[in-house]
Amino acid sequence: MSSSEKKELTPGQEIIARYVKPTPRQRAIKSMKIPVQLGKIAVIAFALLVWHYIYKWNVINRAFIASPKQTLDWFGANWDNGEVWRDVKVTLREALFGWIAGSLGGLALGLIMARFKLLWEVTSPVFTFLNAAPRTAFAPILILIFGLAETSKVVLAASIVFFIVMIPTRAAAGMIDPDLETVIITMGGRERDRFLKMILPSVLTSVFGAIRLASVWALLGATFAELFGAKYGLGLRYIAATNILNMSEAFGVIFIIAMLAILINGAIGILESRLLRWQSTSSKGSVMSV
Amino acid sequence: MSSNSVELDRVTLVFSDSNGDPVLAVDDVSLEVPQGQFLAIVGPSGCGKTTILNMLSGLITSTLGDVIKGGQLVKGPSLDVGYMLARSALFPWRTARRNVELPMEIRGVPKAERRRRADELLDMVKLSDFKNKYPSQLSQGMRQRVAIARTLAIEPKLWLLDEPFSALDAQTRITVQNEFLRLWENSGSTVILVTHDLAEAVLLADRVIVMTARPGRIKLDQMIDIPRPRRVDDLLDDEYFMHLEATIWKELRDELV
Repeated sequence: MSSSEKKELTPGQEIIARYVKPTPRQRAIKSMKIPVQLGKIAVIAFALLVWHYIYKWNVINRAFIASPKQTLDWFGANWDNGEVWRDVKVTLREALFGWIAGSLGGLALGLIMARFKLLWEVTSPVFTFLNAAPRTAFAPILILIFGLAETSKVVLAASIVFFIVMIPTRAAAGMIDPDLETVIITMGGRERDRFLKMILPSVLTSVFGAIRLASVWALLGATFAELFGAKYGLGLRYIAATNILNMSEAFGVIFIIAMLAILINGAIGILESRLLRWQSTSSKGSVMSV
Repeated sequence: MSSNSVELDRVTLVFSDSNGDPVLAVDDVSLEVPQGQFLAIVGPSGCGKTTILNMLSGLITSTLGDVIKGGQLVKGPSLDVGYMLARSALFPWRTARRNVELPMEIRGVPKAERRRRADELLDMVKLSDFKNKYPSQLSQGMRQRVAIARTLAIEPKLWLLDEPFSALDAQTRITVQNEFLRLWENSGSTVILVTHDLAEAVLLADRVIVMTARPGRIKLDQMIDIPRPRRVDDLLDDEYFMHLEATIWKELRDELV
């Protein structure tokens, strides 16, 4: 629109005409939300500072905690330590297998229970009990049964994941839009079509969040079981370090576990937003003020 | 009897409500719809309109009496019936095109053929530019047009329409109704439309049946001799249409409110 036009512009048209489109560079800078990023850095710095002074002023007995500096030094000394990497690998593998086995089992049983309601009604007391029982407390028993190696950790992780996935799966499979059901049946859809084209996609969408949450629990479950005895793993390294009051290593391991959880959660989150693209609704604009 | 006529022969339907008490939903209803007729069933909520559609589609079985389609007893869902609901009931994780492909997938139509046909059908409902959009990205009216395209993919001999235009705003409704008429007229298929909008029934149908409140019985059965092809927007201020609607309305005031 050129301003040389003779036509009188309405006030609104004038605002549009005066608007200068930001360059891609300006847009990129704006989308970085620099004030928010600075705010985040400030909060992290403050937290580190609080931690530092807790250590320095001996707020908590210094023998039982490590300072930020000591933790960082531990990372510096151990970033190429093959034994630490091996422990990371072992714990991750246990968590991964537990997550996959528990999720598949939870999905399968949730779907079966939704399909055969009578079976659910009859067996639900058992599941309610098992779900209510403190499953982490089974860790020592599982180690007795499955041994010190990775299997016992996989089983504990899977047992935690199983319920996180199974309960919402069953609920979601029972809450499918009845209109979709009518449509697919009147189209001549058989049981197989209904399952593959309606129930499964519908349920997977609803329980994706639970499956994502379960991944972090799988990691926690595996680590927790390792505390009670393992051959390798981050949990074992952690308990061994605390037993000899090597707090910088203990804190280092806690940081590793937390970072792994964040990474796993983020990776599944990216996958989720890809797969659930269809749920995205257009983002709203905002009112422009002069 | 020809292949897509429909008949209800003294049909009664009793269902049990959530307390297990029996409820008489459809009471001894007989009805014959010849091939190619557009029948509208009008009635208040709970008069058993939807129940009649569900029996015709084979979703439920009558308690007493015979439901006959194309000379044969309806025993379950069949492949030549198209069912449309008030909400478009599109599968939210499928694009418009993949939604239209769904009935063809169920029938085992090869992928290339399915795709070609879906594009053709979306073109017919003027949504070619939106075929890769998800339902959440489409307006209500567009969604209902996708649902029409999906139903067309079935090549239905019998259309069962359960208030498919009722959730649309007034302007969109007229567009979608016209769209439907354009695609249906001359197709030779039979239509049964359930609605509680008397004007819509008179505008679209060849014949209007009015049912009483529960238990549903037929109160009035009237032919609508407005010539085809019809255009809904042209008819809205048409004197003959207004006269017909007013006449029926007067007769039924008591039942419809």
